[in-house]
Amino acid sequence: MSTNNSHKSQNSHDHDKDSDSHVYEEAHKCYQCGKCFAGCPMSDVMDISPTHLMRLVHLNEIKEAMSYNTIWVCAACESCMTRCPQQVPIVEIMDLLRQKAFKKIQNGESDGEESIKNVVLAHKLFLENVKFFGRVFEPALAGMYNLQSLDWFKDVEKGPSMFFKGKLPIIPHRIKGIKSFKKIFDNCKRKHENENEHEHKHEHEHE
Amino acid sequence: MKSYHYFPGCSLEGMAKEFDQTTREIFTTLGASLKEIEDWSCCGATSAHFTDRLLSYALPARNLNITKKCGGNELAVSCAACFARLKVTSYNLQKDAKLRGEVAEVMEVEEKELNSLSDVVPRHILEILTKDFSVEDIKSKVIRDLSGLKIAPYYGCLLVRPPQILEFDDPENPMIMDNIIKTVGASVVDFPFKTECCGASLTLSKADIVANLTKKIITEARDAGADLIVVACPLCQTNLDMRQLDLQSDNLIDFEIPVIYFTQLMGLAFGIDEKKLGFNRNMIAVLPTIKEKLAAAVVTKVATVATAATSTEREGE
Ligand code: SF4
Ligand code: SF4
Repeated sequence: MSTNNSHKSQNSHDHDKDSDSHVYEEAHKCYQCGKCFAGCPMSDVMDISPTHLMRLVHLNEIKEAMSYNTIWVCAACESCMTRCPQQVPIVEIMDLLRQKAFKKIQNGESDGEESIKNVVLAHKLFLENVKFFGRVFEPALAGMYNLQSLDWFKDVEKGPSMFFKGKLPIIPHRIKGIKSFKKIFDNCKRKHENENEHEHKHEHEHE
Repeated sequence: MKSYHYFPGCSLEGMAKEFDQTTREIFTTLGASLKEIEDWSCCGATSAHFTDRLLSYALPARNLNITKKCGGNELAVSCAACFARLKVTSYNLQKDAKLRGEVAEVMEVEEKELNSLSDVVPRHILEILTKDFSVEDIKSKVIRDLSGLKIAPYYGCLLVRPPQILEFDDPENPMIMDNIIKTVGASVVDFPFKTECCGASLTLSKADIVANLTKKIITEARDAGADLIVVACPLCQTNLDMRQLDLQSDNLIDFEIPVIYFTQLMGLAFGIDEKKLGFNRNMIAVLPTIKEKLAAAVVTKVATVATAATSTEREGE
């Protein structure tokens, strides 16, 4: 168990596990009434409904829950959470699943389904854009997305008219405190890497 | 004079510049000042809370911290999406000491700095306009009669949900924007889709579903008899306005309905110079609709007055 010693400082990970499971446990309150599904604007395009997803979390099938497109096509409109008679924090639970799934995709441990690739890409590029400027610079974001998603002509015809209307700024603004701002991103990333390393060690210990 | 620290947010610097301009204009008209906080940054929006828990709290916390450092105890926000992120952050940082510690660590600030963030309350300007100003304060600035305009108030998601945290208004049937619209003299249609989601957060990546949701909302507004849709969120505005062009070119709708910010409507009622209201930035033209409806209302009014006058004359005969 020497690994534990070397990770004393990242002991917070264990807490993380606790706080994760504490949120997942909230799914136990779900009695499968289907109200969340009934009012969900995205249910048509979801692999499985939010109701089904809560069932999986209840059964602790986290890996399976993470594998469906449901967590990525959710628009985070919070209708489900607002209407749930049991006050299950559905969106919070889904946030945890998304964050975990995103980490895996970032680490190359999982490819992510074809159907969700562009959603994940859009989030990634959004945050890179913010990290660079401190604020969103819309033209660069749209351009990068079209390039990287290979969806080159998407929204392109809208571009000129948007510029013409002065909708999009032409000169980017960069915040003054960009150095310390970027550090926030790097620190978060480092924290995740540590957690990840720890998680792997943990898995090996159990093997 | 009332004075507020103000967070515009990224959209209001770009796509939704007219929302920023008209917010400032109406506060000036009401005799209040907005002080933009120094060197503010992006609140992280949906992308941060979908992908990175700590980042999703650290980014809004930076702005709350700046506000506190300039001595503010309130932060006025126009954008519904930024408002939701700032409010959720403020709520959870107060509630959860462990989270506070972790966020302080990634922000590289002392934890006690974040302890006192509870002194900074994010407030949406709709709430400020309703609570800090009386109906009379607002009515007294109205110089243009908007009674000919029928409005569908569209709140979307982020102003009202989750209600436990945002403490904003009734999540199923909010009235705060309805009331402001009525106060400035326009009429409100019964609009059951007020808080339906338009899917804007997936605009970039799931265009087809978003088109469908948009179509439902604008069709419902049209059927309710609205001349305009009024919103408080840049994501909703951009999506509902721009998406109509796609829907038209795909022959999915054969009408159009302008989508404007409630601050633009207020500015119109206050008689603020039309150039400053930014209607030229909409994809679906706004001014022709407004001019037509207002002119029609004047004609009806003149007719009613004339009829009344004739009947009084007759009575006098
Ligand atoms: S609304 Fe709540 S209780 Fe009903 S199925 Fe959904 S999560 Fe479960
Ligand atoms: S938050 Fe997501 S899962 Fe819940 S109703 Fe909205 S789109 Fe559906």
